[in-house]
Amino acid sequence: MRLDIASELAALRARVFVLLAASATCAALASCGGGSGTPAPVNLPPPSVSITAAPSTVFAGQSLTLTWNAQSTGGAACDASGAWSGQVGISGTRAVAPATPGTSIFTITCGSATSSVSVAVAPAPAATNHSIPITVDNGPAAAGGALNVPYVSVTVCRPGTTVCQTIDHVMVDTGSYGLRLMVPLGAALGLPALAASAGGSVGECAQFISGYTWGGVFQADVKLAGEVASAQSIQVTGTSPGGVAAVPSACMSVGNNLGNVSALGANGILGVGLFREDCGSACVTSAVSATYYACTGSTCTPTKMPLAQQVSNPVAAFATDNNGVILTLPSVPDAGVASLSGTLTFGIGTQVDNAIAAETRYAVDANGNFVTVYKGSTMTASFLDSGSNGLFFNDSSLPTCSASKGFYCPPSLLTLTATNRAFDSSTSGAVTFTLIDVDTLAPSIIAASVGGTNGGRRSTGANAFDWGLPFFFGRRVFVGFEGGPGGAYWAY
Amino acid sequence: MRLVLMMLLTSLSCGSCLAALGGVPTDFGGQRIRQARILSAGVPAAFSVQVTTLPSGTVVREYISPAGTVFAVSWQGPFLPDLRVLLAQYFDVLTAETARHPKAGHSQVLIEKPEVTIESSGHMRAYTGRAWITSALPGGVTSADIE
Repeated sequence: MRLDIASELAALRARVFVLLAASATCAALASCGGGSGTPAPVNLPPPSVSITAAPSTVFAGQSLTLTWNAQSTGGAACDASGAWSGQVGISGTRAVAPATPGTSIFTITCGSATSSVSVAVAPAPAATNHSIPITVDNGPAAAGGALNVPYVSVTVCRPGTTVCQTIDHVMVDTGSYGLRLMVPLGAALGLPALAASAGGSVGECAQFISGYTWGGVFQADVKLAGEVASAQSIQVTGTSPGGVAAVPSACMSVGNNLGNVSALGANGILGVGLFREDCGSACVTSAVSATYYACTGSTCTPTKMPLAQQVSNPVAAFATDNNGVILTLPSVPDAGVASLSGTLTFGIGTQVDNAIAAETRYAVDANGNFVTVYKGSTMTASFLDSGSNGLFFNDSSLPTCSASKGFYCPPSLLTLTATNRAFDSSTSGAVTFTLIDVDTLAPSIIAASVGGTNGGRRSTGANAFDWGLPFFFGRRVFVGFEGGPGGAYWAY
Repeated sequence: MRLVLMMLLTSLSCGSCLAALGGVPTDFGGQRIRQARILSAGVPAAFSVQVTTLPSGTVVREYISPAGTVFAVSWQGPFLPDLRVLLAQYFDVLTAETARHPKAGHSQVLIEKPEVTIESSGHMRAYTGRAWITSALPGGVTSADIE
């Protein structure tokens, strides 16, 4: 919001005639020729000042930035009034934090010019605990080691009760949607199985590039910090939905079984990507192969699944702070680190501390993809994926590793650049990233900026740059869920 | 440029055949699917492409040599196709390679073997991939021709 008040005096001075002395100023003016003593009329810009506020809507106590710039006002300083005060320079920025709910008007007066900006100040929300720690470490014991995997602890409860179990080392994944657990749940927890409309109970096949997870769908209250997603569908592997032990063959036709701790390298997956459901409307209208199944007797049959019963991003089901998440990780030195801690924050712009500030927003297409341009190649199916443990892209000029198959092993630290762009080209920004030899990383290193191969050498079609966890180092990355104004987006 | 002729196939000659890469085009186990066939440019055409839209919305392309053998496949869409059918004997190459789980796991697939190349990338609700038998590419055809 921006409000400019031009004084009448300023309007009257829109055209100013100044008598010029024959001096150095003259050299720049076309009317100065001939050396005559005749005073020349000159147009000077009218005195003006403008002030803006970003953001223009804040919670009480939340910081915002005022930016102002005065021109042709003749003075060396301006006066602040209204919701701020004192003498300030003719241009500058200042962080302010309005304390009182209502409307705060920040006015600046520079000579005869004045300008104001109005900021809407909402009452601070009730202080909900809306963040949990992220730990990047060597993973659960059964994983056999991990690199660049962000873990959180997740609590699941029998719906409507305080009978709960907390599972550690659940991978935070911005490339999927919904909670999947790969560890046995205590018998006392007693999560109810989701009943299939056709009888029996629901089983699900979740598809990933590197394989599938298969298991029954159960109902649970998912608790993260002070937030609760009530009666959510979650997938639990190692279970036999409807008593059927066999995995449907169509599910096994996706690839390998990822539904155990050693294959996945985690006790579960917390999918907090851009979408709400793991399948979406496709599974509402038809029984899509290798997704949802009604399991009864001795067989599982593909079945339709209403949106509300699909395995879904639990954050989107919170009562508050449900429009996105922020992954915050510290920067990582070139040689990598042996421990790394960050934060998973719920909600965007819903609390004093989770607003987008200097970050740029990148809109995504219907597939959740934006554009990466790397070495002249435009990849329109690119994405940010905290569940990918490297930066995966195609560059056949980079040496691959002899031991860590599929990774790049440059002989010395490599610095590269790319440009990311919103799918509709509304924003873009350069990204500088580094790659280090994966094979020579010390065993103690659990986070480092590494990269590896990807498909994507089509001359046409959708090629992908998969910005995995190293992209998140040293950044706040906002994951704006679908359904909000302007649709789903990344911001960083 | 490549679109010379398009015809709808109502059925395939081999209803029970599932083989794709390295064999005849698949009918995806008799699912209700939409298929079209496109011939490549050139006289005679170097290959034809059978384009199948699966019920899931995923589009599969099978590249067929003049002799009737599928030498390349590709897919793009919200769900993975039945890769066991589509890759046929090469599905085992995919699972063997992706089963490797060193400390640094790999969530995208690029397998380059003398006999086959397999690419698979994307994320939940948006998948894309290609595979081809290098030795079976018709003369003058390169991987760049595989969309």
